[in-house]
Amino acid sequence: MRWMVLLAVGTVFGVLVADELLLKDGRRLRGKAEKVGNAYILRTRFGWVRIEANKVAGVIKEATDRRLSAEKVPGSLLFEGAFEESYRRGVWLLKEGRLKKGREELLRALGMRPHDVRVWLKLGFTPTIDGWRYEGTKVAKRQRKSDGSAYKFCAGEGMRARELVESGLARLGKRLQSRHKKVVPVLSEQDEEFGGLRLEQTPYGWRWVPSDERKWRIWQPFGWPLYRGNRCTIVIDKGALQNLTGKIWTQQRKIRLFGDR
Amino acid sequence: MRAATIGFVFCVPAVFGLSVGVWERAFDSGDFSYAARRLNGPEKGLALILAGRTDEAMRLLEGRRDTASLRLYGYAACCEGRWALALEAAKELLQRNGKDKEAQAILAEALLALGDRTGAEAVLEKLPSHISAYVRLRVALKFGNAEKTRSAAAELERLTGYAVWRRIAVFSGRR
Repeated sequence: MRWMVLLAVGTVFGVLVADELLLKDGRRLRGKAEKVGNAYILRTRFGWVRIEANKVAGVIKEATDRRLSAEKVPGSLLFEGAFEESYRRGVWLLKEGRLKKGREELLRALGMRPHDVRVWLKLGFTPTIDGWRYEGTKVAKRQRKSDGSAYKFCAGEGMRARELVESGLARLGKRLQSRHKKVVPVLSEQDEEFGGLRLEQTPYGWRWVPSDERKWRIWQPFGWPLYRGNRCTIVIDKGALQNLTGKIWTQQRKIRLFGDR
Repeated sequence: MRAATIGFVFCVPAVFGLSVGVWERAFDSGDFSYAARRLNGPEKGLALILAGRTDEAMRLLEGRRDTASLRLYGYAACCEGRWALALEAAKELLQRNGKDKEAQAILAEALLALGDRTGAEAVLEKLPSHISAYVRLRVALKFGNAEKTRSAAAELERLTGYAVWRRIAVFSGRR
């Protein structure tokens, strides 16, 4: 048994210390490479092979660029075979919930036929004017989260507090919608008299705070089990507004809401 | 000892990894540039195309003569508006296999963009309708033809069932 371990270790280290020959047809060969005339002699543990220099795309020498060589990953997707079969199989696998295998098949199909829009769409890409943009579930979720930081920058450029409140409530509404299956519409009509934010240095660093002492009153039909009726008043005072903007920036879930007043 | 040996043997592929794992990570993060850094050959070309770096994909695949690389090269050349190069790649692919749909799509796009409408239409007729509509849409977008963009987008919407195509037509009209 011990010799098996030693053999495995030897094999791995043998591969690690070898040069790498990159051929123009995409193959990669490992071994000790040396250039002889117009060809390369590659010595492997199985023997040696002579490869003409015009078929070689590059040589990664162990001594000079071992890190680069080790970082690369051997390819396993061959863009060959029947397109329709790969595509159908990929779609079927995705339907079955086997995401990894399904994507693998669809990638193979895409490599064979990049002009086929069905494959792009199944892989989660969305067409845009400038090409395809990936909008997978997780990525889209992350982009939605990062929207808050975008608002943060907008505020500096004169975004009004009301818009921040509205966007925060819209987010809350979406969350409620997903949890309680209640439709919470985005605020549409608000008074234009609300002021903006002022940048102030606080013990927690520079923060945007409301520029006046006025309370923020928003009328909104609201589906929330805390309240008896469907219609309630949400009053957000100055401190709560700070919390709200904090929520937008930090993705915290707490929001100060007051019931009927 | 036996467990260690088995574990070690199973660890070897995990250490070296397979491209499938790289793709999976790229899909999870949405960062296809990462996959492009980690992969080689046509797979790297595809990753670059998915990342929207078609110019780099062209540089990578230039000179490669295998079919997969030629197809991706032709597609990338179309994206970059290098129609003459795309035409060459398509012709070479069609010499190998006259029924290659991707080669026909590249050829049709290149011909349409270069102004050979008759030749392009003859090729487009052979293609599946969603590919031919997509080829028309790409060329119309490249040349800023709003009317043709709208009609191609409407056709794609009908064929694929996705409403996103309409958005492209609207935005292209605004642009």
